[in-house]
Amino acid sequence: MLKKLQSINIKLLPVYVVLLTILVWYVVTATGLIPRFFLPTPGDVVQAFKDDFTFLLQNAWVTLTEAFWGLLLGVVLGVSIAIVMERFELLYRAVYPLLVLSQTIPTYAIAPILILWFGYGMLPKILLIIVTTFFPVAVEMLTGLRSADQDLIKLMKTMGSNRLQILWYVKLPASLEHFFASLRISVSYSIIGAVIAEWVGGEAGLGVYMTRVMKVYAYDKMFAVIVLISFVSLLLILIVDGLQRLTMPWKRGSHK
Amino acid sequence: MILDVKNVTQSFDGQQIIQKINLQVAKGEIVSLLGVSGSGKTTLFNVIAGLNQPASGDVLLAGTSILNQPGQVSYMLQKDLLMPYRTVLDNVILPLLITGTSKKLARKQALPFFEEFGLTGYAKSYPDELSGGMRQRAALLRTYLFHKPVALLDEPFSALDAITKRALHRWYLEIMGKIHLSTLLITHDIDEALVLSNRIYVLAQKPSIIVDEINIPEALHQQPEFELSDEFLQLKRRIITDLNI
Ligand SMILES: Nc1ncnc2c1ncn2[C@@H]1O[C@H](COP(=O)(O)OP(=O)(O)OP(=O)(O)O)[C@@H](O)[C@H]1O
Ligand SMILES: [Mg+2]
Repeated sequence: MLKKLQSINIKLLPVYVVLLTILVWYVVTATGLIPRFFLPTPGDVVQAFKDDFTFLLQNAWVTLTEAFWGLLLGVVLGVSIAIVMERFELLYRAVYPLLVLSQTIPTYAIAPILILWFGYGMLPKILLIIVTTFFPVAVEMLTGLRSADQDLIKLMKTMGSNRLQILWYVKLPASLEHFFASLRISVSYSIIGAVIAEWVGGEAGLGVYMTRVMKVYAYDKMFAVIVLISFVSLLLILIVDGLQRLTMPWKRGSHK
Repeated sequence: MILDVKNVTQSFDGQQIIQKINLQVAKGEIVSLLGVSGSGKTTLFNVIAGLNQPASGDVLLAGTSILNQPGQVSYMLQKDLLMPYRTVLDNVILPLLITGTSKKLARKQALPFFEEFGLTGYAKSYPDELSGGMRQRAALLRTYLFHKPVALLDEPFSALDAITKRALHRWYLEIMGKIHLSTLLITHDIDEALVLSNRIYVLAQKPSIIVDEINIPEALHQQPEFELSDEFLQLKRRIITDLNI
């Protein structure tokens, strides 16, 4: 009983930390310890969020759309690259080092070039997200595919299975855990990527909203949008977790 | 002869492991291959299963060579190799799926065997939830569902405790009486070989050759308490002498 209580408390610890942070934030701002124009109170932020609610949602929708397409295409690209490289050893040796090297280029730094080339629309944002998300997926998937149990592959061969069947029945399941680990990273990358590309240039989106409210020193709105972005990222990661639990039911314990 | 292994020699890195192995399995027969660890039993199985090419020799299945042709015999590897991410039912139907049966039909074909294989109620469980004995039975069912004329079983019972093993031997003999699966079985357990087989090949020396072939008349198996009989002890002594242990 005591043990159970403790485990619940431990799970709730992060919540306490958040509540405490908000409390401290409230105290230092409401008492004027930190000037309000510098750091708005939690109440100000909530108010700003309410005032701009529809507008914020419209912009969030744009950012999410970009993130969705970028992430989808980035993941597809990453998985495909991993499968092809796992299949052709020579290609792996030729391309993998380059792929790793390419990651030393800060991908967000190419955002301005993409904007110059492809304009202020969604395309450059989606491209940037593809470039930033495919890599973690490709690397993790490759590790996963290569971690497949050799004896299972042998068993599959004794049944006369072809490469595609071995990929489907052994290698892909072996990389599921790696896939979701990389997806969790890529989801955050996709939102950050979209926002950064919108800072550089765009017509709508949370990044554009941020640059606009920054120009007029609307700190409360700044904070509102930051909270919104964090919230959206958190929500997406929870969705990935849920997806993982759905696709990997054998990890959930007894099923009889 | 359903399976005919002819003069199979295999070497790795220039070193001979098995030399001129000749053995046969007749239809419906259970034949054991007995040998100490490292004597090359699995090596021979890999050749029969078409996974590895032998240095020399041939393997005939119902008269035609099956060298380098995987998928001709049912093979249960030394580990149960149940996929943790598939339910027991979806594990055992794997050979059916590989050979092109639809999932729905494969499940329908496999389910009636669950009772016989002591897996009733566990179709939708994951392998993690099974006991050691059940895992082996599931792996055996998967092997059986491959529906090939010969089954190769690589130490199917060696991972089990003595009591579970005994129970499984009984069950195995009983089920074999019904399905008549021609079987070549690897073991390094002399008692197990004697209890289960119609015939035993003893593998010994370096490189390994077949040093003895022992027929166990059906009458002995029928005898109550065969395992405690003088005949049993005599055969056991003979094998121990063969193995030089
Ligand atoms: N692919 C391989 N390459 C090199 N050597 C091998 C290979 N496969 C097996 N060997 C060697 O051949 C010998 C026989 O191995 P094998 O696995 O056939 O023995 P076994 O009789 O099945 O033993 P156990 O009862 O322990 O399973 C061993 O010395 C092993 O190291
Ligand atoms: Mg072996």
